[in-house]
Amino acid sequence: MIRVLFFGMLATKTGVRETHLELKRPGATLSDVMEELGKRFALPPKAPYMLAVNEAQADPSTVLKDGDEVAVMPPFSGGLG
Amino acid sequence: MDFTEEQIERYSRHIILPDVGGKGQAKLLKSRVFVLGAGGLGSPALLYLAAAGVGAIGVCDGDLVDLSNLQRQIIHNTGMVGTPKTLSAKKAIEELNPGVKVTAYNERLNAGNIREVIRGYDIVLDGSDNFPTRFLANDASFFEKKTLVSGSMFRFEGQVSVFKPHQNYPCYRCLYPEPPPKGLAPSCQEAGVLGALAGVIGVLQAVEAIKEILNIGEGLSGYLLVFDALKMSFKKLKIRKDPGCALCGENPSIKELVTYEEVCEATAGKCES
Repeated sequence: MIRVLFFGMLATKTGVRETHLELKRPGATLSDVMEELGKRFALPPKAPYMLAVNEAQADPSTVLKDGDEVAVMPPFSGGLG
Repeated sequence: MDFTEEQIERYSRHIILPDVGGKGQAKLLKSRVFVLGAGGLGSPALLYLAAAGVGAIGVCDGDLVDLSNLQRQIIHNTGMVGTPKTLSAKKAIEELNPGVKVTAYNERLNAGNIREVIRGYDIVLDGSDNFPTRFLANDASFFEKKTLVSGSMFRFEGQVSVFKPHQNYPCYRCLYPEPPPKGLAPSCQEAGVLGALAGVIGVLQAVEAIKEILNIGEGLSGYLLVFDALKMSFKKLKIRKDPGCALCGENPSIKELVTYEEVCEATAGKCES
């Protein structure tokens, strides 16, 4: 089981700030998890999110293990002028 | 440098601070900071930079003070509604600390003028409210080798980081290579923001700018600090320089400033939040 945190616009889009996922197979990557999250929450596939695993920016090829925390961080633009 | 009696008294709480001292205060008095936007983030940042005695402050904003700004843009006041924000900010800064030299840029920065403008400053503090300006500030700071203290907000959350790609730290594009597509940028209706959050994030930017000037402590270079006001929690994510970054990577494809179009008409042309 891994923990996934959504921030900013993504928390609004998904309606949750936090969710949990079972890793489907050993060696599952961040990219696999993003694909599953994309399906579950109807997220656009090529959106510019910064991804972090256990509080460090990570590439999509990063292999995940049980207990990992994934942060999905969209850019914030500012606020209304 | 020799302080005047007025300066010794005004900055006494800095001067007696071990990590600042007379030497640090002298650095502040000689420093030059450019603040993009006299809005939600720029307001508190400008006030604290001025109070700290930053010698020269440039402030850029093309807007007039609007009543709806005053919920968070605390450098302005009710009597200034309808006045250019740069003039309102300049007046507030000069009232707070007449020793600060303020230059007002009452215009929109673009690919044609931004590099020349920031060249005269040591640090750029980004308090802009739209992606085109954010990317422009990032790229121009990279080309001019200026440290960029970046802050941004969404509703109850804020991000702060310090980008120093010229010192082998990541730039904004190492996190976000391109502005988000239209559907993913917050729409105007969704872009409300908690007023006091702007204070938290803008003041954190001022803290980071002052630490950069003094060269003390551990800055946010290589980190993205994320604040959630509803949870009252901070998260500090380690970020890395992307060797494939189109701007600061090993084989950069961006060799000059790029102009992006604003996707939200209500914020187009503005450079504050």
